[in-house]
Amino acid sequence: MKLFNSILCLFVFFATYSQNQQYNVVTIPDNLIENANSVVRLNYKNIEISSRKLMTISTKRVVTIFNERGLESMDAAEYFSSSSKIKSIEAVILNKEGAEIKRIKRRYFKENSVSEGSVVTDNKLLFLDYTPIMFPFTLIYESVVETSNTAFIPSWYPIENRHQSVENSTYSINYQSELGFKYKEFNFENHPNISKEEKGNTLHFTAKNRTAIKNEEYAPSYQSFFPYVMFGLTSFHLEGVDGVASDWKNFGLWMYESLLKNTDEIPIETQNKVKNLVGNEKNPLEITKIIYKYVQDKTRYISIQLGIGGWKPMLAKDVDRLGYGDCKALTNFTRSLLQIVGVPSYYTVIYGDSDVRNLQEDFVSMQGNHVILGVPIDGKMYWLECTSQLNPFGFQGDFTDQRTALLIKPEGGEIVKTPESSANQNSQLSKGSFSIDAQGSLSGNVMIKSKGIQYENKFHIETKSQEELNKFYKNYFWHINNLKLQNVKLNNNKDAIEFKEEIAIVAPNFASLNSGRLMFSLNAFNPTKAVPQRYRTRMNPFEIARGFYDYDEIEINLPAEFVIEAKPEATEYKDKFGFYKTEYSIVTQNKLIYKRTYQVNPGYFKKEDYEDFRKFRESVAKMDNAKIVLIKKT
Amino acid sequence: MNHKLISLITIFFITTSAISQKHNFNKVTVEELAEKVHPMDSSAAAALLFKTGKVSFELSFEGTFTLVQEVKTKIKIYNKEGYSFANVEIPYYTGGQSVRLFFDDAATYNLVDNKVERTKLKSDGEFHEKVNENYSLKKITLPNVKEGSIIEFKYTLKTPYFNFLPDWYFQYSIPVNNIQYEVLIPQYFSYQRFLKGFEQINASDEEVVLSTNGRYNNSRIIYTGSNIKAIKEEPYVNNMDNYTSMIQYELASTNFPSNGIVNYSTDWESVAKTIYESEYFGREVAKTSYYEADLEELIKGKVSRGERITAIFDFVKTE
Repeated sequence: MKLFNSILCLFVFFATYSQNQQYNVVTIPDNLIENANSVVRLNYKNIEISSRKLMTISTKRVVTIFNERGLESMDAAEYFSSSSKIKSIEAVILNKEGAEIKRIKRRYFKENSVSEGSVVTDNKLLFLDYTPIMFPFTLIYESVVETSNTAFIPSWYPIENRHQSVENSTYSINYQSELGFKYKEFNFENHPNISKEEKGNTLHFTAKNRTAIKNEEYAPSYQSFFPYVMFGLTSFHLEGVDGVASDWKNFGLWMYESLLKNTDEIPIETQNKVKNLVGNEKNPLEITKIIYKYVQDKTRYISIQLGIGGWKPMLAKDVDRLGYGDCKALTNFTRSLLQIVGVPSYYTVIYGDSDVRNLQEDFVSMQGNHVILGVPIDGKMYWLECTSQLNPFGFQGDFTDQRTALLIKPEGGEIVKTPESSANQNSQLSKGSFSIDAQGSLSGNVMIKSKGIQYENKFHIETKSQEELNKFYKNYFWHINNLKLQNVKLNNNKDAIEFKEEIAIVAPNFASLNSGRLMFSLNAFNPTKAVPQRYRTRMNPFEIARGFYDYDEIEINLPAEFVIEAKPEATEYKDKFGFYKTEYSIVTQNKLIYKRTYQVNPGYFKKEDYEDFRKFRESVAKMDNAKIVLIKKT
Repeated sequence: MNHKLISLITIFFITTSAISQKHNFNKVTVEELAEKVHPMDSSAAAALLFKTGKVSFELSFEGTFTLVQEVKTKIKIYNKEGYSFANVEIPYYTGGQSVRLFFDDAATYNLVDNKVERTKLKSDGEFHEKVNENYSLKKITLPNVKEGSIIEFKYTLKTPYFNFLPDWYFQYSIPVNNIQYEVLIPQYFSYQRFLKGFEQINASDEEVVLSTNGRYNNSRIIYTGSNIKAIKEEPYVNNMDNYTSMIQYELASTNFPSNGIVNYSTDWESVAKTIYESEYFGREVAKTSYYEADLEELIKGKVSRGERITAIFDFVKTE
């Protein structure tokens, strides 16, 4: 009997073995192993849209994982909620020979509520919590999810990540033609040989044998480089509400009618309060500033993701009562208040991210992850970030600048673009002086004015304690040893959106004293820190999302006992990546003035240009570090 | 008479009366609301004006004990960076048992026209979240919070898990003006106490008081602290809890008339014994069937301890 059992075992073992032998790690071609932390052996997604209110997503995913960094490619998890149900979910783990070592059934998947960063949510996650006992191993994962939300059809991402190669990624979708199916491919020009097949109501995409793409400095964002396909329906359903996405106008109209309408009631006391605040002010810009300040002082941001509440703002009167809300609620509250004081404004859907991410203009669908308020005044659109209690009026920073957004007007939707910030707008002007004494110690002061993105990077230090300021400036003056901060005066001018720092520092032994000579960098206050990394063969194009402009004018007082022995020459570089110029003028024997202009231009560049870009930055860093040599008078 | 005791009692008396006078729960004064910065720490975004906790045990009709922790908190918010203290989140271990946690008396106080205005938390600002099978969260988001607001809330935890009392912190990322922790332990339990950190915490002498139902005695200790400075993360600190002023209680032994003395963690031997008796560890370790066959094969012919250890270790490495 025992013998029989073990024969049976052996038999079963062989059966599974032969079945999965195709996933033996040795069968992976060498070119797919290079630079890869994981290989997607198969990623098969089948989407079945049976009706406006029913979509079934079946996934089969086979991933071989080589190391710990590849674990994120497991992606063996599904979200669920009252509108999305997981019909089945299962995983099998294979060893490197492709033999099964573990089978994980649904009940061993872990469940978690999804509330990272949000106070309120009803979304839950069922995920595989597998601790690998060896690398490499292969995961086979299968799931079926059924949802009534057809507003979001999963996009196809044949390459999900950097450092991940793909043997076979296939996406298949079947739809009802009366729902108005549409799709759009992105970045296929960078990634040839993706096959597409369209037959009746079925569409099929396949990508095979994609080698892993390395991560490199200044590599462009995922959305602007990797291939993906978006899918959508003209007639969709979302959390109990039917929607239409034929064009932006109609889609916006739908959003207005079903998500915004009748959410803007403001209690009479608050109406009177804001009317009083506005008083006799007639200028719409000033009125808007008053209201924005009122909202900033009254409310705070919390995140809410509850059913349709993930898309529909909480009522303005509730925000009024509670004093908090998420981006939708606070934006809608501000809109409702402005309405009372006679200033029209528009709820605007956008992607909030410091990596610029556009709403895909030629693909009408539910997009975006954030909401801001657009206020048109005298032909100019002012953008209000209503979740921030600290942002100056009309300041967007890098979170929502230079990208497409959807204005929701009562008469329909409209795609607009938020303003670009040119290099000149992101400026930092430094004016100051320092003295070096005969022992090489530095004492000096500098006034720094920052605007645009450089303002955004800094204004938060306004409220920091002395200890934290010390840390901040030790980092800012990273190249000065023994730095002592003597005095810091900060001024956050919210009207001009300019941050002013007045700093006094001393640094003993800043200049090195050696055999009667003193040597130090002339650019003591603002040298660039890093030179971009060198790559033997650059694989990615590169992107400078935002430019900046720095101008420094520093008076340098030299010790009377010394004269200049050598000093750097004036320099000037200019190319498409930017502009750099230094000047040194000797005013008297012991005084010189150092002027520096440095501009970096934004742009999207070919990978072939990378080495030139690196050289430009290297020259800048070299000149920033150029030293003057003083010799003791004899 | 003992001099020290007298002064201790006096100190104690003064501190408690100071608490009750200066920072009373449910008595928010205009002065408190008008305060612009913390008098001892001008960089504080918020401060705990007052926090009290009380741990006691309830005896059910079935004769089982439930641990009850009642906590009252009063927080002053100085600026917008302190707003996060108005989103309160209390996680608690459920482990499949019935554990209750509920909030009471939560409200925000503001100064409006030099008068104290109270905004009560309504049920729409209260949330329950089952994180997973072992943990749950209760959250409240206090309404109408502004710079200068004072928020108050109270919560009660009722749990059958009395092996560990909830850790009680005397020190936080914001300054604490007054804090008190009262612990009432029935005579059947004895706990090890670990007081950590570097702040001055005063513990009262242990006092015996009759339980509310009059059937057993409780031992009572009250810990107090005042003007405790904020503790901030610093680089190269492995775990801030090693430096934060707090008290931990761990069950050492029980002594019920029916069972006599049962040791849990009086010494390392009983700690090990307790762990081995736990169904999550001991019972798992006791399972041998799944490796017996492998083991027999492995140690076949190997006699010395060393040989056997090497063979098993190599086998485990390959698995």
